[in-house]
Amino acid sequence: MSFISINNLTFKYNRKGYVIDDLSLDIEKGEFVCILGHNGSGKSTLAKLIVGLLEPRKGHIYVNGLDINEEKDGVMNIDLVRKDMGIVFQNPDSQFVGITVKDDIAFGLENRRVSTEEMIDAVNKYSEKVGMKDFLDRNPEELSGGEKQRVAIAGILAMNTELIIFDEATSMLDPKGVREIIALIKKLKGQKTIISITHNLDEANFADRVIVLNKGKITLDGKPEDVFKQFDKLKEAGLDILNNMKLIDKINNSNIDECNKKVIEDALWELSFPK
Amino acid sequence: MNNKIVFGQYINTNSWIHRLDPRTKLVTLFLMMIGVFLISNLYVLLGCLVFFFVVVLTSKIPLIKFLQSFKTIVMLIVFTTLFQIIFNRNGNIIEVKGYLLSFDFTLTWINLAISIVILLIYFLLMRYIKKGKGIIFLIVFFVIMFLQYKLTFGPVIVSSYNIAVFDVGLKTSLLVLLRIVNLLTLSGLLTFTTKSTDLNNGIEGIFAPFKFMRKGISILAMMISIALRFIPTLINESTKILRAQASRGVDFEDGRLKDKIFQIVSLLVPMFVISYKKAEDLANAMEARGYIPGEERSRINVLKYKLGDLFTYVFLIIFLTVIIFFKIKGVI
Repeated sequence: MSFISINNLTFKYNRKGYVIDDLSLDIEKGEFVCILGHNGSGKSTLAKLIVGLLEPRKGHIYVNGLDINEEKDGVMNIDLVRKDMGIVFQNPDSQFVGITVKDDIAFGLENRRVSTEEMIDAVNKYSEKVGMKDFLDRNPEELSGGEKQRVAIAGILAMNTELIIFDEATSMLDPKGVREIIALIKKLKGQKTIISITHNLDEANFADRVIVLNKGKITLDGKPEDVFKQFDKLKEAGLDILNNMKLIDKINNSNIDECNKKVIEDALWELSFPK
Repeated sequence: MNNKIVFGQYINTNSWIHRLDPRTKLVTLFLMMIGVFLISNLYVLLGCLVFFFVVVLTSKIPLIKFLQSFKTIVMLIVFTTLFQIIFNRNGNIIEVKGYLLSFDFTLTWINLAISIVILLIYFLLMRYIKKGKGIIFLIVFFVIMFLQYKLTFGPVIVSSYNIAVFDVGLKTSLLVLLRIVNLLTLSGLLTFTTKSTDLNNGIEGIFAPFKFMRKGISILAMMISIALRFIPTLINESTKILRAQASRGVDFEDGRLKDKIFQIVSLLVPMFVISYKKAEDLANAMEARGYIPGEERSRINVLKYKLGDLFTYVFLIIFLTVIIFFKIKGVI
């Protein structure tokens, strides 16, 4: 069984239409999956369902083979599975629990009753990894949005979870913060299983797999190169199509000879997503 | 983003009191307060006050800043003292150079009218006065009393009521005054030298040995620490809303009371919605990071007693024993 396996998941907040509609999805260990979709397509809801903050109406979510919404011997599976999952939310301010950076990075470890010495080591190690080592005694008020998100990432790295979910982690940041966080996410690729819900196509192109959600259903699923060529379906899902992609499409449909076509297409692809 | 809102009156001078364990400071403060309340001798109380001020000096906190913290409560002190002097009529009337401190006042229609005029002028001028409102009010109060003392002709409403200063009354009032100032000095010593987070850790640390209440205390401590964490955030949010509403034409500064109430509503409603949303986000973030309320947690900030704490506790025990000993003997 895959690391995360979602079977026929259905969810709605109230009597109105389904937010997640009979969705099935498998994610392997070590995969970097980007989920795209316009506002209200159900992508954040999906993330909350995976980490067990919401309970599905129908269907099952298996993480490591355990159904997260089942109970066994009086212990909720979600409490066991949470050790393997971390989530970075959208709002940098309201997910900052600790009074200082140090307290916040240690929060998850404190909940796990890790000893003080180990905690201090972990805080030092992971704050350095996200470049926040010099800020350990700062209050959240003294940090920028990007810095707060870096602290949130450090907190999850310190918990050493297999899966990290980024729930629009960059959507409330300034361009500099976005660049920092995306650079950090790229650095984590391959080390962890990453599900990133994003609007940033640059990040999406870097992913192993891009999933496009529309009205709670998966409309596209595949490698970024393949997904970004499906203009009709992207448009249908309410996503922006890059101008360069449109150009590639035009060139494909024109009568330039095949050899030149390939050169121009590669050049444009390179322009859209410099690697 | 970078404007730091300082919460509380903590000033870091890194003195020996700053380095004390917050638990020590809390316990010492609490027991010293009880000790101060046991003392009913004016001179001993005064001695205590002098001693506490010497301690304040050793904490390197600027004395002016320390005294400024009394400002908010000065009116309360003055009024409690005055009321004690006026209403406590035990013992004998005090005699100063053969002159009894006893005054007869008469309220007549004439001095009542003058008093009302003075009060009206006072309330009209209040709008333009920024500083020293309390002192001006005291002056007005004394002027009105003086009118009733000297200007006693005309139709009488209340005839010759007496206010006198009695020795027991004066003593009790001074006692109350000294006690309050002592308490303020003690609590000032705590709040000036301890960060609010440390205080919170201290409270949790003190109750840690009591297993039966540990669950409640850990939840309470978490609540306090989250409240402390979110106060600056919510202040920032409220300034944002104030500006947003001001740009839509809401005037928070002037206007009648009725208008002001409606204007406050335009701040309160969005604030309520924002806090609610933030609380939900925070609850999600905490739950996702494995927080279970009341469950045992380890701590990254472990409090450790040092030598200074030992000395403080030893001193505290000596202080309390001496006070209780003399209290039983009936000396103080």
